[in-house]
Amino acid sequence: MSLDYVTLISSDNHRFVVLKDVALISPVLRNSEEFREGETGQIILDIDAEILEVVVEYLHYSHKYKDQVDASVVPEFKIPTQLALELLVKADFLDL
Amino acid sequence: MSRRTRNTGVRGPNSALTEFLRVEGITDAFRQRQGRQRAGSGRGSGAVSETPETDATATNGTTSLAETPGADVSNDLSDDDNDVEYRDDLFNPDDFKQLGQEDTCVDCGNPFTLTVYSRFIEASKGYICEDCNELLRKKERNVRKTQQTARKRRKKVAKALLDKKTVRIASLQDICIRAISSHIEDVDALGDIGQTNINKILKILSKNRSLNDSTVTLFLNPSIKVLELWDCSNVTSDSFNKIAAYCSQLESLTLFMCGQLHNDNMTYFIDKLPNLKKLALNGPFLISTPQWVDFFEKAESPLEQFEVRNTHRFGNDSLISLLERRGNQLTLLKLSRLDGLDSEPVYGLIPQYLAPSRLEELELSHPHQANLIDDDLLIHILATTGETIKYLNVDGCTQLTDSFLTEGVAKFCPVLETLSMRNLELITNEGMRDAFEELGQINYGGLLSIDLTKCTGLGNEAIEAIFKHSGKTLVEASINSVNNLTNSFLVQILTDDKDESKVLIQKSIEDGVNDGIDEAPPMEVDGDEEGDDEGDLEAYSSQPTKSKVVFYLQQSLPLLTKLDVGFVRAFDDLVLEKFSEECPKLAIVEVFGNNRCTAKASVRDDLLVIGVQGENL
Repeated sequence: MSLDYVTLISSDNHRFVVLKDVALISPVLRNSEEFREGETGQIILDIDAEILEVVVEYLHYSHKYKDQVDASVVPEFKIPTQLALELLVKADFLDL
Repeated sequence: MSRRTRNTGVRGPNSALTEFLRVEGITDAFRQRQGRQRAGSGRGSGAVSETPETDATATNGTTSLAETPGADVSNDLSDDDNDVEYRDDLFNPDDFKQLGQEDTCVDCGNPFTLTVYSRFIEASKGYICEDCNELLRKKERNVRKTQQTARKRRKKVAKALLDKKTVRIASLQDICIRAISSHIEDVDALGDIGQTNINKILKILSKNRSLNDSTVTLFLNPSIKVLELWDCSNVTSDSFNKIAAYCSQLESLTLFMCGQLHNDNMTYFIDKLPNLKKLALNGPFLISTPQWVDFFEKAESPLEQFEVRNTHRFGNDSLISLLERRGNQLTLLKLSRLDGLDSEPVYGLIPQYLAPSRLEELELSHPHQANLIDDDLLIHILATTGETIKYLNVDGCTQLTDSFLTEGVAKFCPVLETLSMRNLELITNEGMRDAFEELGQINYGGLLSIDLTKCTGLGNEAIEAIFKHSGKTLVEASINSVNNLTNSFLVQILTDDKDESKVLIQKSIEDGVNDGIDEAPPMEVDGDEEGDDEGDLEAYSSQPTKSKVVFYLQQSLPLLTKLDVGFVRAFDDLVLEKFSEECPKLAIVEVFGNNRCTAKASVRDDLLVIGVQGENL
């Protein structure tokens, strides 16, 4: 496990610094690592901070429970209802 | 003694009486039992033990039975009442305490009063106090609990394995969809979404297969004019009625995988969708032929575009009705995989009812039988309405031959943009070449997309003619399984005409390298030895008997974005690199089954190569 960090930058310029292992859960972010973003350690996303915050939360949630065998231990991930539709579009983009 | 060893199966010599008793099954079991009882009560055993033991014939059963129990009895006589003392001498008699006495806990060393509930510990050979007992009991309970949970978890994992599902964290999309579904009634809670986002969400829901009665209601509002549901598998008949009830302004309705679309729904659509111009249905197998007829006859909508796929219930009568009632308005007609359409004359009606120069998109693919769609039908249709045709799809009409291209497409299609002709194996290399050379005289624009998957008759010349005509405009191309293409051809069309290697080829042809070679089809060259440009020439000239050297002009493919070259064996690393260099827009190349295409090829970063063998995923 590496301790590298990646900075995810929202469209309104909020920065989310997350562990590389956590960010790489998204296949799209993983692929963008191969390009210029891999060198700068920054990934600029066309996502509002409000949405990106939930996305980052989900990445951590998913990272924490990825090896869990027992489904009953994994808590439900709650999302703000008013963001559900927009979040769905972004989640589809990030392939999460 | 002989009776003792009876069980081993080995017997010594017996008297006749012993033998008789044995055969008759008369044993001394009764006496033995009696003897034991007597021994237990401790009476009269002395008399028995006095009997001599050595009587081998043992007519007197008591003698033998006295042997064992007798010996025990003599011991028992002395210990008769000291039973408890005997057992207690397992541990130090000094430690032994009566109930109610003070004792020292073997665990903590504290003094305590021995009761009937005090617990004896085998390992340390002593009693423990009540406190220690409580602790121990708690420990045991925990152990049992963890054991149980471990067992439960193991069971669950095994069960999941048997059910072939792994415990997976719900994807963010699933979570969103669940949130949306649960708040579907409360549209305001979901926030504002534009129409473009609606379409996007519809597609995502379809992709996740979660379009159902509850989610679909989100998208029904009176103002929409276009509705596209790409996966209606879980949308029930009631919801289809709701579509018509809520969205009466609909002009375009697309329902794919609409297996639950019912006759009643179509009846409902007849007068509830007065503006419907486009109807596209995939898999409406519950709609019967009479229902189709009814719909076409009675529907108030000005239907102009009609598409139906994957149903065996769209019969001959349905098509006749469609053509009679709507034929002259149609701008789009797509009929695919309709096994109910099995009459050639009915297909023959299509050109008769179509208005001249009106139809823009035509698809007649995968008919019930190949002979239903032949060259004459297509030529007839194209002669009628070819002038406006932009999209032509004849996938799987395997009966079509060169004349469909030379007499039909090449003569009547000036604005054709998309041509799809999968599996047309009868089309020849020459036919295709001639057709595109001729097409070039009326169709100046060029094609945007061409699909030649499994047109196995094609070769270098056909593809060259296509690129010559449409190379500048082509965006998507599939030459999957056109395996007659040679490596030399693929390399040359992407190499500058001034390049040394091509100049050499041209020169060698002028010098007569082909002299004496018969008009062997160039497809014979498989390009096995061709490694690079220079190598080509040497390979050719070193084996003059094999094949003819052919010179191909460079073709430019400036807009090509997607290319499927699966199962074209001549396509190797070098060609892939050439395509990567020469086609600036190329984004996706599919190379399934091209074993000379490896991960070693260096291509542009933004070019996605799919299907490379031995690829590490």
